[in-house]
Amino acid sequence: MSVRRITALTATGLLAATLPVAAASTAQAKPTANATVSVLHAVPGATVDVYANGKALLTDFKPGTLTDPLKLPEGEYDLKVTAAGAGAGGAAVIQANDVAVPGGANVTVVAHLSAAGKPVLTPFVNDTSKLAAGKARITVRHTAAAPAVDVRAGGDPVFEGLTNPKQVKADLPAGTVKADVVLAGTSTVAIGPADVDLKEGTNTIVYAWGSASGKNLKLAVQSISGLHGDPSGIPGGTGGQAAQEQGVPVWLGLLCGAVALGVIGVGTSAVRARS
Amino acid sequence: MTAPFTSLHAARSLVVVAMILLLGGCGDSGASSSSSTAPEGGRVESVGPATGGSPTPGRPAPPPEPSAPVRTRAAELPKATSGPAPDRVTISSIGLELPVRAVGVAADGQMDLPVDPAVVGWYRFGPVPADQEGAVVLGGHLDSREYGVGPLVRLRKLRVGALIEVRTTDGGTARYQVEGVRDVDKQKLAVGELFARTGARRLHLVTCGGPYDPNGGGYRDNLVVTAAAR
Repeated sequence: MSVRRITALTATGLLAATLPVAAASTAQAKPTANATVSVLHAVPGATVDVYANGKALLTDFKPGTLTDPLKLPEGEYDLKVTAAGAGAGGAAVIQANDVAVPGGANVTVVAHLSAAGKPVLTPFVNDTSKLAAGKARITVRHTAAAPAVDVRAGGDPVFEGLTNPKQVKADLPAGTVKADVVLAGTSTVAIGPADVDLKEGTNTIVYAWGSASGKNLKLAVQSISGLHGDPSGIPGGTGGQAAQEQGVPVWLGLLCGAVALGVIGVGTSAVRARS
Repeated sequence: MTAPFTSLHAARSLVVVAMILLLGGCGDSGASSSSSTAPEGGRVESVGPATGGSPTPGRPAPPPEPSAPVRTRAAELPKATSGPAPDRVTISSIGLELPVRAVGVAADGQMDLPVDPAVVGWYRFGPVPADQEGAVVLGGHLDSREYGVGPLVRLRKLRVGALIEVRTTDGGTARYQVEGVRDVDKQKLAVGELFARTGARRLHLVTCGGPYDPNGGGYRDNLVVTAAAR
């Protein structure tokens, strides 16, 4: 063994001994953040196992099912989907390496068919920003082996020309909408109609999945709640009489009464002018 | 309040980068142009994954250590489930018995109240009495130009320990015990606490209070009654 070889080994050994320390101090300086990751299985007909960095994350995962949100340390993941029971070394139905999962993000990884019908994995970022009070968020994701579609609510197109693997979203008043999915630019219904309850403070994520040629197009739904905003306040009174009864100086009311009437007058005429 | 938004935005940018990296790896390449049009009155963004690029080496994540089996469930349309709504509020100690009507949010972003001060509004997006946590919020006008002084003027006489009964549409009654009757400057009203959907089961009954500014300002304060479920 040459000197050079020994030096190299020693260096490697030192490196190995030093690295964990460095890593530990780095971790101390910046704690590892978790990401919130859900997984949706939207490939028709195949029960699968999902591996992350070689370890089983999900087993016997059935089409049309969704995991609860998982907290995963931020970092990069090698994801592999195999037939159920195939084992970590089994043939990959879908494989995606170096999938970056940033800390703090809320992501849904969807195993689905591409427009051409090939199984793929697509990570979608879930919009978990706060909603205004009384509002609901709808997100629609095209994850089906199908051409472009329009999404209609009550028969009117709301989202048009959505293609795989895109998503669209909108913040709407909370309530129930009768939604269906039609082939883009037509009234040929591909999925639905279905009554979708757009719950206040919730991001209702609707996936169109399956295959048009396989005649198994359907909807999957994921809900992320807790995004509600609060009303800005409570008005509570418009007359002022109670304040006078409670002993608040009457002169204040008398003094400003004329001004208030003036304001009301102007307001009323402004409303009239607009209507 | 700006910090979380900033970090969220940063996280989103990172994920877009992640998508670019991933899509290079998993091979489903599609055009990344926008495919959406805005619905009337709605905000729409197309944020589909971008494509291109190649995976770059990064810090590998430790393998996940699922402590418990990952739970899965059918990704079905959720059923609209909500307990019975309040339909009447009774406070015997001050001789108050008023109908309750479900209300939402007014155009100005405030809680929408029934115009008649003899009718109380229940904030329908918040908890119902049957919910296991959070505040049931009732609110009503103290007075109105049209109707004059309303019965909620008596709330000021309410004492700590008094009983508030809320009847629900199923005929059940939820009971609350008054813990506080306070005037709060409207500018300082902690709406997050007032409309809380978590924490102890409680009732917040709100009207107006303080001096009245007829010159557009209205009442300065909210009179806030807090009561604990019992």
